[in-house]
Amino acid sequence: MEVSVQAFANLKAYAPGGAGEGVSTLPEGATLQELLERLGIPPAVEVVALVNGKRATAATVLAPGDRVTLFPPMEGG
Amino acid sequence: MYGWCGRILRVDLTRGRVTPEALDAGTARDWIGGRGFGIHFLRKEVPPGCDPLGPENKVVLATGPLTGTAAPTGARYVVTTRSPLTGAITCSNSGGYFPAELKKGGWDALIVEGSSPEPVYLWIDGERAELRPAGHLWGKTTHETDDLLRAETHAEARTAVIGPAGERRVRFAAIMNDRDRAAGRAGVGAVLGAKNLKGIAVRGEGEVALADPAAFKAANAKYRGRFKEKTRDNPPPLRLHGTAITVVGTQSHGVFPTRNFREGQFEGWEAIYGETLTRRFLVRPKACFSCPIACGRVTRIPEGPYRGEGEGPEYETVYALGSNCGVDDLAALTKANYLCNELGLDTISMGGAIACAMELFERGLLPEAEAGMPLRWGDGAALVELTRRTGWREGFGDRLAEGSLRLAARYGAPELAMVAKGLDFAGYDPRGEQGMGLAYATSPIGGSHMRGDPAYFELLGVPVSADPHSWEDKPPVIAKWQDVFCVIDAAGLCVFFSVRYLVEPDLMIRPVGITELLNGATGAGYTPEEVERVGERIFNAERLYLLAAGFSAKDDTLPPRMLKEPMPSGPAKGMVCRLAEMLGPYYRVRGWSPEGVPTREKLAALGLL
Repeated sequence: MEVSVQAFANLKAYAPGGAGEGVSTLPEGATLQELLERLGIPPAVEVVALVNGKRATAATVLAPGDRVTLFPPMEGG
Repeated sequence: MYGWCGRILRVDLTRGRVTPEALDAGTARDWIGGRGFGIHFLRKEVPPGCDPLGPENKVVLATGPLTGTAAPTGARYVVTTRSPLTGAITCSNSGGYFPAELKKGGWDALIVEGSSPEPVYLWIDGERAELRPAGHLWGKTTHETDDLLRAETHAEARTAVIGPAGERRVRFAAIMNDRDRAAGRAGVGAVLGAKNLKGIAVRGEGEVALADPAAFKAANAKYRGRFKEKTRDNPPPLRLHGTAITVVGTQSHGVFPTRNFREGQFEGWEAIYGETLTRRFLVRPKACFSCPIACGRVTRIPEGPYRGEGEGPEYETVYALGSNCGVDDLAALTKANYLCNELGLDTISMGGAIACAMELFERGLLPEAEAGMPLRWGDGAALVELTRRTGWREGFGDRLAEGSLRLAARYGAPELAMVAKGLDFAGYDPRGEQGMGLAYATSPIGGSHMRGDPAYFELLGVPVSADPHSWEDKPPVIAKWQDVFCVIDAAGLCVFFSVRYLVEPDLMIRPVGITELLNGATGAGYTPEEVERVGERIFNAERLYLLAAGFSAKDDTLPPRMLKEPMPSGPAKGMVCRLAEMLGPYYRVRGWSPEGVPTREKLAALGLL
């Protein structure tokens, strides 16, 4: 299945294609954790992840066509 | 005293006198400093019914025990006064270098009172202070005033000044320090303007004496070490792209306020967010005193009608002057930000007033003849011109200068002002971020995100994550964050470092690191529980002042748009803010009555009876 990935700040380089935005191909039923591994994001690198605008965890199961947003934790405002 | 200087400067503008006073040791321990000193002195000395722009009102400008020390982000001060925008208190805070300079000059706080018959400025050269004529500075921008003050006093003096907006009592005028840092919110600059105080220049060459230098150094090394360790693999997003990178958090959650909070996602967000700012305009990041993060932005618009240099925009400005006005022209909103800095305006309330005017115009409630121009969503040129007119109170700018609530009321639609207690919201739509709704409604200054900012854990993963859409679990968390933010604002620290590195990394953010640094500096021997108690004391004292000023539980509310109009689209589609469900439990957690009044038991426990 394919999911679209959009990543920001220091995570941009890990998105498919390396420019912040791309499509990743994963086995059916893959989790967010598997996507992060597929993208090569090291465990020490912190990530806030949303799937279709909703907060996701490592165990969140992805579905075809999902939109995944990745950004680093940040102090806001 | 250690950590504290033990000295306060009373500035009596009516009599033209400056008088040093001793800081009482009990006051220091019970209130820590900054925001704590602000409400302590306001309650003692300023009648809650006074005219905010009259001589009875006072302005407390207070540092904390960690201001001017090597503590990470020990850069800040707090300006407390009765607000001419809201009638509530305001405790607006700022970093830069002025606060540390004031502390190194030997001062914990300034209490500015009365009103001068002629414009004056205050020159503080270490322990000597004097009032000087400022007629020649009246009408000058903040940048011009900074240049002139340093030329007249000391080339390395640091300044905090008002611009034309403060002189003209624009109700959301800021006090600008170090040219581009703002104690921005709720009109502190208008209060100085009404007092005829154009600014303060300070030179301080001393060092803050520490009670236990070895313990302080050890705590400092420990927490700076945590920062270094974490940022080895995680370069700080705020250093890379400034706070405007936060757009990715709000836009992706569907809470990025758009067109006066009608929508929560802005189609033009990519044109105005932090990475685009970096690519197009960033000259260099800029840090405040003793800060390892450097979120500040020195920027340049290289070409076009808005060509120029300055600082910003921050996230709140990108929201207020950008998405909330439908403006995706980064050059125009950056130029409007420069104007706010130079004229001395709060960018958030400036944007709130313009967005409100644009909606009034669209609905046909505000005629073009009165506005002086069409006020169409997304018109960057109108944004820039309206900002300029507001700072000088020219034409329709005179109406915008009264703030969004008075503007909306004038045209018969007060519900279109996106405010709590009269203060414009920060850049988070509380329909998709329930905790923020409770924080806005119960903040003592009104619609601020900086009185216990739930965006950190609801949107941005700091220090941990919670569901932005849940409301049942929010009341105790919001109360705790409000108290700990009081502590941060009292200590002289910045929330950006503190909430990530100086608290325990869970939702209840115990201020362990802050306590260690405070103890090393002051020798007060606080426990984290005592420090939290000081935070709770400050928050409750602010509440008591609000109640005395005529506010009540009915003012702990949000506009009908937030409570009744479901979010039309995006991830928060269909949601409203469940404030009514949160308020009762919140009052109970706080030890307040169902009417939102602190109980005698609570006040006794906090030493406030």
